Amino acid sequence: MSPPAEIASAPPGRGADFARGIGLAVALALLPLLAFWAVNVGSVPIPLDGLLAGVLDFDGSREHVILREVRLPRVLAGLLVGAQLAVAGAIMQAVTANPLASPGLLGINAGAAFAVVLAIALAGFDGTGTLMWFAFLGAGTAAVAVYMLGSAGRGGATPLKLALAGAVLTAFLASLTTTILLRDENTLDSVRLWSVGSLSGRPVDAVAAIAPWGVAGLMGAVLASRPVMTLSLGSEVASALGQNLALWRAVSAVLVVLLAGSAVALAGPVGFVGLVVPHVARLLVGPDYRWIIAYSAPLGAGLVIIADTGLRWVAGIDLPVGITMAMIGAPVFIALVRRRGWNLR
Amino acid sequence: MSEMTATARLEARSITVGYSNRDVLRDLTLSVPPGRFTALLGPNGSGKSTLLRALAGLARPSAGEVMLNAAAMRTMSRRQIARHLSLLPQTPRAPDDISVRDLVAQGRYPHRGLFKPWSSMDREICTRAMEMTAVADLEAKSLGHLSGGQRQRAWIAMTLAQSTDMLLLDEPTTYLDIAHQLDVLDLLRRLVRDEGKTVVAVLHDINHAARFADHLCLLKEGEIVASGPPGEIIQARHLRTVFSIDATIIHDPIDEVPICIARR
Repeated sequence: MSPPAEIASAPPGRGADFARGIGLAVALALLPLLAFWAVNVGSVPIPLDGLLAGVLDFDGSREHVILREVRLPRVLAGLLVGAQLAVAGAIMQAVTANPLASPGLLGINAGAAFAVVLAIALAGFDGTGTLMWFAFLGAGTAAVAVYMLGSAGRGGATPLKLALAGAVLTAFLASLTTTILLRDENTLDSVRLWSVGSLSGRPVDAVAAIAPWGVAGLMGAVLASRPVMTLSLGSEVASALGQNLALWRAVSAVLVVLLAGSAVALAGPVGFVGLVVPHVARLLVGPDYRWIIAYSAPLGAGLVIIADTGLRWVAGIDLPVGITMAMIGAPVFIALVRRRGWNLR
Repeated sequence: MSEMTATARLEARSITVGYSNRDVLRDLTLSVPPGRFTALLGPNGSGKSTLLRALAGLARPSAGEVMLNAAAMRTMSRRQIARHLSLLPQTPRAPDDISVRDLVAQGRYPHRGLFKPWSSMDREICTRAMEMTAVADLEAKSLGHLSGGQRQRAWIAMTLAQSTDMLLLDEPTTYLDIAHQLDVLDLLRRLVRDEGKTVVAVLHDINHAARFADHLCLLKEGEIVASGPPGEIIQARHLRTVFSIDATIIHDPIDEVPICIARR
């Protein structure tokens, strides 16, 4: 607890914000280094000048083809997906005042994944750019469904009820998704891999199709972070402060659907990023969601890159990132729960 | 600010407010005296909190109109309302680890656009709000580390940072020990006397209301039974009607403030 305690008791005024700003700059500066490392994990090493040449001055060599078709798309997809899911989780935790809220636990990822698989299996759609729209639709529908299920009955949408509704919907949709994938012989292996969350084999086009939406969502989240912080104080205080609750809840929901939906369209339902990263950010910078959202982007991007690359680097085993992320995320999550006595009622 | 205060008007014109099928307030009319401290008193369920929420624009009347500075409140946005009137709910919620400074800064919300950066004026207003409530020394502390009284003063500082003419508080002294209750009430009285604010507070303690407020409103079953200065309102017959108690009224030998001794 020593870093956050130090920041919290920093001298009044700009001292604390200055320290947080430096920390954010360091986190952002580490990302290119991490990406360079990730690009180099594999049988063909790619030095820095080779990387630059491959991007700026493509010569068709085997090294450049691997870089452009395999390594770079994978790393870029990881950066995007990690940042998007983590920021979506941060927004959800703020708006629902729920420490368990995340696109994975509240069924948003499962809804997007189910809609995408349905579109592939039943209607034969393909191309990430097209499937993304189904992901948005599925994510939005799941969000509405979980909110309605979770706020039914007495006491409204308590954190526990929302989490339960999300778990139920996730289990239900995941089993439907699996059923479709098991029964449909024609579905490609890449779709099966995608359905557990994977960054491998993402074509450059897919990354390019998602990137504008993801970046727009991230920028929107940063812009909306101050109202989101006020929203996190609860409806009573926020409306007394003059906030238009309906407007900012809607903006938050649209941002979450945009961020999580496009991430799932690209890499499938990767769990734990959206849950764990905002908590880690909160431990570092305190309860101000302006900073939590800003920190969640680089932390989420870095975590997904490490999860996707770490095992390949250490043992040469290429497991889908949805699985490696769960291996990292589950123990981290348990540690977080044990550290803070969460009140879920 | 004092020029604005002279024009700050808040009134309820024959409002009826209810939840689902029950009317909590019926045809209630109230004009809040500007630049005074008004206390709303009444038994549980008499509609005090609902009246406060209606005056703050948070509970919508099904009939009648709440007027803020001669404009119908239903035509105003939340932001417009929050520039004139701040409300402290009964149990406001914030993360335990939020600092006093960050909480108070939230009070600037209605005055800031999405792209408007934090200005030196914002900072000065927050600093002054913390000085008025004596939490300036605690500004780097987190809310969870404060005593109940300090925490309540920090919340009041947030509503002061809104720089509104009117301050509405729902039971601001509940859950506080007696010293902190007096602390908060004294602060509210100073805000009225020194800063020219209009304060409306739901209070439970009749004697506190008589001592600190300028104007009392007694509510029973959604209607105002009596309203006026404490000397007129604290009378045995009113207390019997409103609270169903037998009381003897004496006067403080030092300052003549009426004191109610409830006998049954």
